[in-house]
Amino acid sequence: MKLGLRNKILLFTTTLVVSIALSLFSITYYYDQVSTKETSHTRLENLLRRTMLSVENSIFMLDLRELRTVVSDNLQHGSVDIILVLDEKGRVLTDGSRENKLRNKVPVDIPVIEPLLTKKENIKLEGSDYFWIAGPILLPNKENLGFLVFGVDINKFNSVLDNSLRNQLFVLIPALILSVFVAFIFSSRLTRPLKELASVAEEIGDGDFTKRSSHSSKDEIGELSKSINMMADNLSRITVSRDELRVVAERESMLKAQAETANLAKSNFLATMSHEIRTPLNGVLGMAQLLKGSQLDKDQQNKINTILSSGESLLDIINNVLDMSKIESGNFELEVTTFDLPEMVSSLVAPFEVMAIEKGLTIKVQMEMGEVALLKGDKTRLHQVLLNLISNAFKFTDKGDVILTVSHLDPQSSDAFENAACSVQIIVEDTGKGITADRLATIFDPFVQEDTSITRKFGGSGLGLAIVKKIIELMAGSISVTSQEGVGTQFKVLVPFDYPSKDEAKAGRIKNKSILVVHDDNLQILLAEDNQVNAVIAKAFLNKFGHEVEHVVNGSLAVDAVSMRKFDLVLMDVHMPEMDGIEATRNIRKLYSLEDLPIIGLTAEAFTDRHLEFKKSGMNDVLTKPFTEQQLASVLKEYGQTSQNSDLEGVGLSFGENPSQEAAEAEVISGKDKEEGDISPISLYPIGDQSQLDRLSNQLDTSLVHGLLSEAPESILALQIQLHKALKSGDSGEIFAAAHSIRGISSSMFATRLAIEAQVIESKANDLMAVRSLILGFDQTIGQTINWWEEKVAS
Amino acid sequence: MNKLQALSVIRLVIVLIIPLLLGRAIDAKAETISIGTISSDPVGEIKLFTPFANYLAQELSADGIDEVKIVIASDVRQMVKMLKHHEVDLFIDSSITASIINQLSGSQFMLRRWKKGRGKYRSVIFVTEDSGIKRLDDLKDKVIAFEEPFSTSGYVLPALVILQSGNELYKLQSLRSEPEADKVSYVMAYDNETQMVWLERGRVAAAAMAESDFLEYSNNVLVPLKSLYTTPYVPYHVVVRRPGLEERLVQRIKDVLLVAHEGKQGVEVMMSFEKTTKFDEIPDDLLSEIKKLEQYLGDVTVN
Repeated sequence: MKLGLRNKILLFTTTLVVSIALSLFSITYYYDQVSTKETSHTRLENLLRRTMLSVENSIFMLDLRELRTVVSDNLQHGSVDIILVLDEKGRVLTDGSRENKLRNKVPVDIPVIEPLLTKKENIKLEGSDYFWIAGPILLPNKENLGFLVFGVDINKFNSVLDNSLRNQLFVLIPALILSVFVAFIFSSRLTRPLKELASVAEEIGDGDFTKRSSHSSKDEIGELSKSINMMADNLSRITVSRDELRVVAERESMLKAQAETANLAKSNFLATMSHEIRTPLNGVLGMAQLLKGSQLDKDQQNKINTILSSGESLLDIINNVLDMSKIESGNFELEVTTFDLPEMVSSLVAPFEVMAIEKGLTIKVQMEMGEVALLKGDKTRLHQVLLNLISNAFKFTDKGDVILTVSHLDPQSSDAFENAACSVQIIVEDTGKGITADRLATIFDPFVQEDTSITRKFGGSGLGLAIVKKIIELMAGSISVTSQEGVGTQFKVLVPFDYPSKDEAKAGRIKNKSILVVHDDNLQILLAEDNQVNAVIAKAFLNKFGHEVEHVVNGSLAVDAVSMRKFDLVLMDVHMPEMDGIEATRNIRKLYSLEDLPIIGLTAEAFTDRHLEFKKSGMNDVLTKPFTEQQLASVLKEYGQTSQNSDLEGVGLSFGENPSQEAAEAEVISGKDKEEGDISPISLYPIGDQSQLDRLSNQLDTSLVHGLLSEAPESILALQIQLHKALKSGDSGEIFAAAHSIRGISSSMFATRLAIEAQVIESKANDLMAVRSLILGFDQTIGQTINWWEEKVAS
Repeated sequence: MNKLQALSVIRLVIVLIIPLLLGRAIDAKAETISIGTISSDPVGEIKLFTPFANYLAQELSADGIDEVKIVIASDVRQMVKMLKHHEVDLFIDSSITASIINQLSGSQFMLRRWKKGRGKYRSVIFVTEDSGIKRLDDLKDKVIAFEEPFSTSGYVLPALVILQSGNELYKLQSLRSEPEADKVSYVMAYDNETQMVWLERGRVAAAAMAESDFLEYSNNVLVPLKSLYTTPYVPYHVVVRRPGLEERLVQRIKDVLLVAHEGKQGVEVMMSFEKTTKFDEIPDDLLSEIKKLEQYLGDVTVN
C-alpha cells in the first residue's frame, strides 16, 4: 500500500511513542516486579515479627479470643490472606475465624509447615497459590510457644504489578493518544500546504498559468511556494500552448515525412538519372574512343580529345552523384578484395608526377609500410579516396609540395585500431592556400566547398570530400583535417585492414595484375544489347580481340540464338525490350550450365546487391557499363574457354578510363627500383622496370620477349620523328598522337621514365611551349631507354 | 484508661444521651410505649430493634399507641431502675436475666421469643475424660472456666446448677490465681474457644457453655471430653412487662405479637429482629424450671 506523508508521519510518531513507551514500561515493570516482591517480602517479614510480638502473650495465656482478634484484625487489613497460630506442636489454635475449621489439626497440606516444625526458624516459601512466611514464637529462654504462619495469595503480588501496569497504562494510553493527536495535527499542518501546493502545481501543469500559490510562510514550504509561483511566471511567458505545439509538431512531422519522401525521390531520381546518363555517356565515350583510333586530322583529334576529356569529367561527376545517392540511401556497399597497397599507391601517384611537373610542384611519397604489401579491403574505394585527396591537394596548391605519407601503424600506437589486423595511416598534405577556420568545420559536408568561387575556378561537384568521409566511415576508419591559411592543409586518414590468407594473397597477386590483351583465338560470342551504340563498341572491341560476334537486340532472340547453335560466351545486357537479360539468362540456363556457357551481364547499375541478383539468375559475372577494354578483356580471359594468351601479365592498353584507371594499368612506377617512400622528379624514375621485365620473361618465352624488345626501339624512333615533326609544325593533335603512342609502347615494354614523360607531353600537347621545353629531356630519355632495351636483349 | 473505666464511661454516655436522643423516654405518655434491653452496644441494638418497634407501633396505632420507643440499659441495675420508673414498658432478654430483673423490679414474664428459631436451651458442664471428675462435687478445689458474666448459658445457668448442687463458687481474678479450697473456683474466659483450649490443655478442670456450642466443639477436640452435668431447659428469650402496665395494653400487645409470624410483614420484621420466628406463651415446664432456680439467683453475680 502507498502511504501518504501524513500517514507516514503518523505511523512514524506512533511507532516511536509506542516503542519508547513499551521500553519504559518493560523496564519499569521489571523493576516493579523485583522491587514489589522484595518490598512485599520485607513487609511481610516485618508484619510477621510484629504479629508474633502481639500474640506471644495471648498464646502464652492461651487467650483464644485475643488471638482471634489479633489474627482477625490482621486478616481484615488484607495484606495477608491466611494466618494460622499454631501451638508448639504445630496444631492450629486459631485461623482468625469463629468456625476455626482447622482447630487442633496440623495443617500438613501447607508446604511451609513441615520445614517450619523441623527447623523451628523463620521460613519463606513460594507455593503454587500462596507465598508462605512463618516462624516460631519463642520466649527469650528459647521456649517455643507456638508458630505463626502467614499465607499471601500469589495473585496479590501480581495485583500489585497489575496496579503498576494499570497505572502506567493509565498514563501511557492518554500519552499515546495525545502524541498521535499531536502528530496528526502536525502532519496535517505540514501536508495541508503541501496538498495545496500540489493542487496549484497540478493546475499549472494542466495549463492554467494564472494559478498562484498563496502560501507565504518563512519555511521550506514557503520557499517551495515561491518556486512554484516563479515557475508559473516563467511558464506563463511561453505563449505557445500545447495545442499549438502539437500543431507545430504535426506540421514538422508532416514536413519531415515530405522531406524524407522528397529525399528518397531525389535519391531515386539521381540514381535513375545517373543510370540513364551513364548509358548514353558510355556510348559517347566509346564512340569517341573508337573515333580517336581512326584516321583523323589534327583538328579532329583535338576535338575528339576534348570530347573524351569533357565526357570523362562528366562521368566523374555522375559517379560522384551516384555514389552520394547510394550512400544516402544506404545502398553503398564495399567490396573486399586482396590488393597490393604500395603498388596501388604507386600507380595512383604516377599521373600526378606529370601534373606536378606541369604545375611546377613537387610530389613526395613516403612509404612506411615495412614488409606489409597485400591487404584485404576495398581497393577501388580506397583508390577513390586517395585520388580525391591528392587531386584536391594539387588543385589548391600553386607552389611547393604535395606529400603523401602511407604508414603502417604500430598496434600499440594510440591511433591504431583495436581489433584491426593492420592500421594504415595515410596523410596527404600540401603547401597550398589552406582552408579558413570557419570553412574547415563544414569541409566534409555535402555540396560544400572551401569557397563558392572554387566551383567556378576549379570545377567539381562539392561532393568529393563528403563521399571520401562516408567511404572511410564505411571502412570503419576516420578522416581529419588540419589547415592553416597560406601555409597548407593536411588530411589524415586512418583505415583498418585485414591481412589476406595465403590463398587469397596468391589469387590477389594474379588478379591485381593488368592484362595485356592480345588477339587470341576467336571465340564465338553472342552479344545481346538493344542499344546500338553500345553494341557497336562492344563488337568493335571484340572484333579487335579477334572474336566472332553475333548481335541480337533482346533476350528472346538471345535465347533463340543459343538454342540454334553453340557459343563460347554470352554478353547479356540486363535491360532489353521484350525479354530482359535476367529472364533470358534463366531460359538459357535451362539449356546450358554455368560451366558450359558463361554469361556476362552488362549493366549501368552499379549496386552490388543488384549484381548479386543478376548472378542469382544464372549470370557468371557482371560488367558495369561503361566498361573498359581491359575490363572486357579480363572477363573474356576469365570465362572464355578458348582464350589462350589472355593470361599475359604486363601493361595493358587503356580505353576510356579516367587518369587513375589509366595509371593503375600503366604501372609505370616500380617501388623496387627506387628508394622506398621517395618519389619525386621524373628524372629520378628508373629508365626501365627490371622486375616487371623479369616477371614477363619468366611467364613467356624469353625469345618472344626479346623479339618485342628488339622491335620497340624502331617504333619509338619513328614516333620520335613524328613528334618532332608535329612540334615543328605546331600540330598539337599529332603531338598528342605521337606521345600517346610512345607512352603505350614504353609502358608495354617497361620503360617507366619514358612512359611518364610521354604522358606529360601528351597532356600538354596543346601547349607547344611546354612541349618544346620538355622535348630535349624526352629525347635523352628515349636514347637511354633504347640503350636499356638493347642491353636487355643483349643480356 | 483500663477496660472497666472505659465501660463506665460508655454506660454514662448511654444513660445520659440515649434518653435525650429518644425524646420522651423518661417522661412517657399514654400514647407511647418503650421497649428495652441490656447491651454494651446501644447503637447496634437500636438499629436491630427499630423495625420491630415500628411494626408494633403500627399494629397498636388503633389502640392509641402512636410510637414505640427503644431504650437500651447498660446493665441489670439500670434496667431494673427504668422498669421501676415506668421508663421501660417491655423488656426483651434471656430468660435467666429476665428472671433476675423480675425479682429486682417486680416485672413479669409475658411471652417467649423464638430467637434464631430456638425456643429453649440448656448448658453443659464438661471435663476431660481422663480427669477423674465424675460429679459436680468433684469440682471443689478446682477451677471451672465460664464464658462471661453476661452469658446465661456460659455462666448463669451452670453457676446456678453448681450452687443448686450445694457447692460454693469462688471467682478467681485470673487463670493464674490459685483455686480456693473447698470451693469451686471459676474464671471468666470471655470466649468459648478459650474455654475449650484451657480445658484441653489442662489449664482448667472444667468448662461450661451452651449445649449447642459444646456439641459443635466436640467434633474437633484435642483430647476426649465428657459431659459432667447438663442443666434443665429454660426458655431462650422472653418478653417481660413492667409492673403496673395496663392489662388491656398488655393483652393488645400479646395479641399483636402472638400472630405476628402469620402475616407477611410480621415475618419480615421478625426475621430482621435476630431471626425471630415467633412469639408464644412460655410453656409451663420451662417456667417451672426457672422458678426452681430463682432462689439461687441472688448468689450469682451479674453485672
